[in-house]
Parts: sequence; structure tokens; C-alpha cells
Amino acid sequence: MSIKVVIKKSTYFDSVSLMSLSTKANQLPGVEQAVIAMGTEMNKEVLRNVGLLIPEIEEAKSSDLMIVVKAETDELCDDAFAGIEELFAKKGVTKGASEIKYATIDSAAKSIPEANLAIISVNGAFAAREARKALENDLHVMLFSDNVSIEEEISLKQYAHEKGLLMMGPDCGTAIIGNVALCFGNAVRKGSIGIVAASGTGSQ
Amino acid sequence: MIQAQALSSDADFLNQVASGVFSGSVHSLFDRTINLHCREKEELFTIACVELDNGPNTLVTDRKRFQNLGVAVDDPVFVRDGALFIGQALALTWQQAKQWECRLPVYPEKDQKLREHVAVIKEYVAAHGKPGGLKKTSSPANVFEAEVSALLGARTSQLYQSLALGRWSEACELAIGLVGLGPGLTPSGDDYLAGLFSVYHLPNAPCCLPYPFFEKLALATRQRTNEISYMMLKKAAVGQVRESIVSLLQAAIEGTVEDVIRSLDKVLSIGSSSGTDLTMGLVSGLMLQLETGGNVCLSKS
Repeated sequence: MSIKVVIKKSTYFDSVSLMSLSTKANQLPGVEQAVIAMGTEMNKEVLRNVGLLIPEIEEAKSSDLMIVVKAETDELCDDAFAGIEELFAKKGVTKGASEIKYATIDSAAKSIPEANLAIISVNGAFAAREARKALENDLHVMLFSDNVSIEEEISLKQYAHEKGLLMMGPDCGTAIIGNVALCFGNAVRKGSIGIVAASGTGSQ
Repeated sequence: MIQAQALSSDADFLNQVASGVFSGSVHSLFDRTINLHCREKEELFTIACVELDNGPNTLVTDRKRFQNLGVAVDDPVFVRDGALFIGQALALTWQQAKQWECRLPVYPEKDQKLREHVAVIKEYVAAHGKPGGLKKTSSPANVFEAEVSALLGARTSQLYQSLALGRWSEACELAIGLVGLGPGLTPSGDDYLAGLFSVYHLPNAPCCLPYPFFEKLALATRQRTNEISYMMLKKAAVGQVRESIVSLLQAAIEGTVEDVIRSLDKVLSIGSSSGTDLTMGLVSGLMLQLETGGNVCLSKS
């Protein structure tokens, strides 16, 4: 087994990019473990705890970026570093929406301006609030969650109607829009028939 | 040369550039921020794009992004003819900027509302917080992440117990053990501590920490984390945190549940897991205030 490190001096990447790079680095062929982290003493202690600390890592300073790879052979390690360098090089252009997890609907809507629909599946206690947030961001809503009160449902639908948006649900489990199946939607041929049915009727 | 306007700024930063005594170089560059190293103050200052909130040593501009401006690390920074020049690429004017100061809300005399809001925050973070730092992920990317998560859990728990018992010297050592822990630009341990410290600086807070606690921590911190995160911790250690944290504390103390959620959403959107880690530190601090309720008030002297 081989462990190698590359230390990038005084190199800073924002946390979202680092997380994304680390996830992808661990999926590269031949890689058993890949760690991309700032070279702090605590992070070195963690590397020691998990058996990834090699003497070269001690040189890393708190403002340096450490890239540590464990693979079957030296050659596989080198291949992995080449792959990771490519990921670094691509960073700016590969930051696609599908690769990033957003904490809130607001941040997702802001970062993906072309998005026009939100599927919401959260605890019922939070569902109406999240649906409203989506509508406020001019997103159509498919509300998978249930346990939403009648009053909240009416309020959401009125608000959506005022904004010219679709408000499907609560307890909406399946839909096909523009030939795209959502949630439990089946893949079907495109045609001229539309079906609207209540939850639990087995229309799907 | 691109011209940009400062919309708002930390008052000290604004006074510093207005006095004409601000020079240094570009420390680091990101899409939404440029960090400057100020020679006179030996501190980092941040130029932020329009969508970011105010913060200590931060100036918010009307720019949407900073990428492809032609600014580079180590470019000189100086004030001339009423503008802050960043290399040959960017000139910032500040004359229309609103001053911002970090003013933390006063801890309430009656804590029932705060108690309820802390419960709301905890529940919301459990549902919507970003895993990967203090909030455990069900599928760590590697053994490193799993170990970081385990250490964060154990050390924050020990720190909490130590603070609850009023053992500040022991607590300080435990806090130092969190600094620099986590892979991100601001490691999760640092974010947690910044959130925690903000609560201990609320005026009239029942529990406080003695000055030597923060002094010792600030000294020990410098070499243990990167300069960007160090600035966040250094400022938090004197009760200076970014505007979104102040808003969350304000909402928790005197707002409605809707205010709390709105403010919390903004905090949770910070960084990758940073917002979640900051919030978890803040929640720990508030719980310590509520649970010990003045029984473990350490002298500030």
C-alpha cells in the first residue's frame, strides 16, 4: 500500500469547492483514501489517528493545502494526483448545480436562476413554510409532504394562483410535466392526454 | 481599471481607509471576496460582493462577483485620491458607504421566549443543517471525515461540560483542541467556537468568561489555523461577528419564530458546513446560558 502527499503552499479554496473536490477525489479509480484539507496541527493529528500521516506531511503549515492519497501502488497514487490536479483545474467550470447541495431553497434558487420547480419532501411541520419559500422564489411547487393543514393549503394555493404558479399537493406523490416524471412518476410516451387525480386513487 | 462603490462597511475599516492610512497587498481571492493584508494593522480585511452581509473588517461593495477582474494575490493595495486601489484592476470609492458596527443584543431578563427559540433552532438545524462538520453525515467521504466528525463530537461535548461546571482553564485547553479541526477553509472547530463566543459576549449574559480565557486562546490560535479563520476567531473572541449571526441572536432574543427561521436560513447558507457549525456553537452557548442561568458566572476581571 502506498501513501503520498502533495502540499500546495498558501493555497486557499472556499469550503464548498474543497468538499466537492474531496468527494470526487475519493471516487477516482484506484484510490482507497483521498484527503484534501488545510494543513493545521489538528488535521495532521486526525491523519495520524487514521494511519495516513507520513513524515512529509509534517512540513505542511496551517495556510497550506494538503492532498493525501492512499492507493495500492505508487503508480496508482501518481495517477490519482494527476486526476486531482485535473479536478482543481476544472474547478471553475465544473461547478454544476447537480454537484452542490444547498442548505436552503433561497440559496438554491439564487445559485440556479434557470430552475423553475421545487419538489418538497420534508417533515409536515415545515412543509408549508418551505413551499411558500419556493413560491416566493417564483418556483412551481410539487409538495410531496403531507400533514399540512387545510388553512395552510388554501393559503399556499391562493398565493400560487396570484403569482401564476402551479402548487401541487400537499401529499402529491407523482406527476409528469413536460414529459419529465417526478417522484413516483412512470416513464411514458409523450401524448395528448392529461390526467389529474386525487392522492390515493392509483392513477399512476 | 474597474470602478466599484462600497455600499456599507465596518466602521473601523471605513475610518482606516478614509484616513488614508491603509496599505498592504492582496492575501487571497475568491469569487465573492477579496482578502487584503493591511500592513498598518497586521490584520486581514475583506472586500465582499453585494450579496454578502456586513462583518468585522469587511467592506461590502456593489460588485456581483470578483472573478476575472485581473486582481492577483500579492497585488499592492493603497489609498489615493479618495479611492482604495487593489492592484491595477480595481478602484473602490467609499464616500456613500453606510457605517456598520457589530452590536450584539442584550440578553433578556425573562428567558422563556429565548428558550423556545433555541428549541426551534435545534429542530431546524436537525432538519436543514448541512452535515459534514458538527452535524454528522451518514456517509463520510473517507476515514478522515469520519475521524474529524468523531473528534468534533467528543471535544465539543467535553468543552460544553467544562463550561457548564465553570472550569474555564480546562475549557480553554479544550477549546484550543478544536482550533483548526476540519478540512474546510474555516475548519468546523473554529466555526463552532466563533458561534459559542458570540453568546458569551451578549451584554447582561448570565454566564461570562474571564478575559484571560480569550487572551490565551487568541495567542494559541494563531499558529493552529489559517489566517482567514484566525481573523474570524480573533474577532469573535472580542464579541465581533458577522451581521447574519447578530441578526440570528436578535431574532432568538426578541423576534418571532418566523424571524428566527429567516435569520437562521441566512446563517445556514454560509460556506459548506460553516453556517451549521456556527449555529451549533451558538446553540451550545445559549443552552449554557439558559441551563446554568447565572449559577456559574465567572468574573470578567
